[in-house]
Amino acid sequence: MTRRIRLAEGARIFRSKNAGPFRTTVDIFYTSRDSYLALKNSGALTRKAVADRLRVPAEAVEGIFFSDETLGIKITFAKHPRMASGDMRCADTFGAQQYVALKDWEIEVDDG
Amino acid sequence: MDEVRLLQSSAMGYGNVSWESIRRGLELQPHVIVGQGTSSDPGPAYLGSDELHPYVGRLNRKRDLGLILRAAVEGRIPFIFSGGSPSGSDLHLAGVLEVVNELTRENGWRLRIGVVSGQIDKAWLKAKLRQGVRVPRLADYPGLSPELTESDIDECKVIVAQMGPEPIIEALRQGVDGVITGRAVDVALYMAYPLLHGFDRAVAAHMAKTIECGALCADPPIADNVFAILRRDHFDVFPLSPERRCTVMSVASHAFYERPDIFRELNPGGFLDVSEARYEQVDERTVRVRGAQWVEQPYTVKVEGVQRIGYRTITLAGVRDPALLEHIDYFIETVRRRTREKWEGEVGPFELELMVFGKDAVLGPSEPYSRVTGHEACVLASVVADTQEVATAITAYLRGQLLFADYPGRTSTAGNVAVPFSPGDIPTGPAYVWRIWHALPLDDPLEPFRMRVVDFPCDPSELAWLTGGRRVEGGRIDD
Repeated sequence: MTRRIRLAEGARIFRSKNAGPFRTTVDIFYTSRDSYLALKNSGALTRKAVADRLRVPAEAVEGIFFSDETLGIKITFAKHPRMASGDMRCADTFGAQQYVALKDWEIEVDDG
Repeated sequence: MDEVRLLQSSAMGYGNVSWESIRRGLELQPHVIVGQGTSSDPGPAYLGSDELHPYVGRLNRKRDLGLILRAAVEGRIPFIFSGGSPSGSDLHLAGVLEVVNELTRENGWRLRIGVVSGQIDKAWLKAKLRQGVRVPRLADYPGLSPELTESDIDECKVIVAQMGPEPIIEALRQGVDGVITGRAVDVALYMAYPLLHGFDRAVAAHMAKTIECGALCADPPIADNVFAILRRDHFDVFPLSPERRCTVMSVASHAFYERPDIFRELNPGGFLDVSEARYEQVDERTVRVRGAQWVEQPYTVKVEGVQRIGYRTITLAGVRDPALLEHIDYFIETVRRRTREKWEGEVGPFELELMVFGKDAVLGPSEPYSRVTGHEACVLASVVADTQEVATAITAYLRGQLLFADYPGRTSTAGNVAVPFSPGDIPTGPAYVWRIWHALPLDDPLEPFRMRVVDFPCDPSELAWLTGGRRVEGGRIDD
């Protein structure tokens, strides 16, 4: 049976920070192994899908990592042009609020 | 030496170093106290800043450095920290050292300190390019040259490089009481002492990576001190506040922090691979870590440089009228166009940016909402021009447009927006962007990093090698 859940569902930590001035990295840690595995196994978290959600080219999504040990997901992507740390259009020097673009993303998962 | 006991303390100068935690750490008889005091996170402006104590201010800096040095003196242990927060430039390192000078004088401490500059001589760097050394950028960003050019070097006011552990080890070998560096790789600071004493590089690097942000590796994660005990094939880590603990989860998940990749981290001379690392809870508050690998790579250091693009003036404007919120895009475009039309050709090139907080200021094109959904919003206008005077003049004109530009359904003929504060235009000074963020190969990890041993307290002239001969004392720098 499939259902749609928000990426933030069951997350105890959902945060972002610069990994250098030109890229943002989002860290998500889940409380339950079930939510983590459902999201990981959904196959929905691809570079293409993340890029579409963030409205960036697919090559801007530099990495999507899954850590079974920590029930963690990391997504790293390049900042928009003119929005790197310190640029004219930069409104988030530390990249600390960029995760919100992903928080409400609804993912189709299979509950088996 | 069977183990290295390492007391961690932030050296950023935020004013949040806890003497209570340090005191608990000293009871465990550490061999060394280590802290990081530089960061690129706060953005490019600080590397260009002419202020002696930017970002954290002198009072916070003096308070925290005083506690770290007190710990070193009372514990009779060496200290290692990077200084000059956040940039680590020579000027800001000199700021740290003039505070250290004052502290040693006030407290009657006598400290022989190895000082290692992280600032790169521009002529030296150009000579490297002329020798054919290729210096590729570390991020595929349009503002960065794919490979470093002489023009990049000319355009940057100050250039620093993140030194690895080697210059710090060299400084420790000079028979000093402690080492203070300029810009350095954070983990290099924590690796230096264990490497000097022959410990394994992978264990040292993983320990360093784990504790570099202090108790952010603990639960609950917060800025506080942690303690690490490093042995031949593993290390233990625990926080110094009794209300916190390290758990397998808190330590393993810290590998994510501020890193693009959770399994591999590039450092000078190699990368740390933690994909096979194992974490074990050895008591309620302590985690034991082993199993990371160090993979040798050609030795490179990251060089950082900022270019001044002009002077910035900003203004804020609150919007509450639903009619204006509905037509905010039209309105902003009108203000932008009129300001451009008025000033283009009148003055030199300038940049103008209008952001709407409440719509898409924070996320930009990634914002899922395409309109203002709340009942009020804030417009932030930012102008960068060749001089502060021109930037402020353009901003003043723009503010007039915000107040009186027309939009469909407008009734507010006495003013469209709420301007907070008087004056409403805020000159923020020189504006900078990152221009150099490149990987410089080095045959000798020590080569670009100047080092001197200084006995504190000292005559201020002994710090002038960092300030182009200018005297630094009491929070002031002579012109």
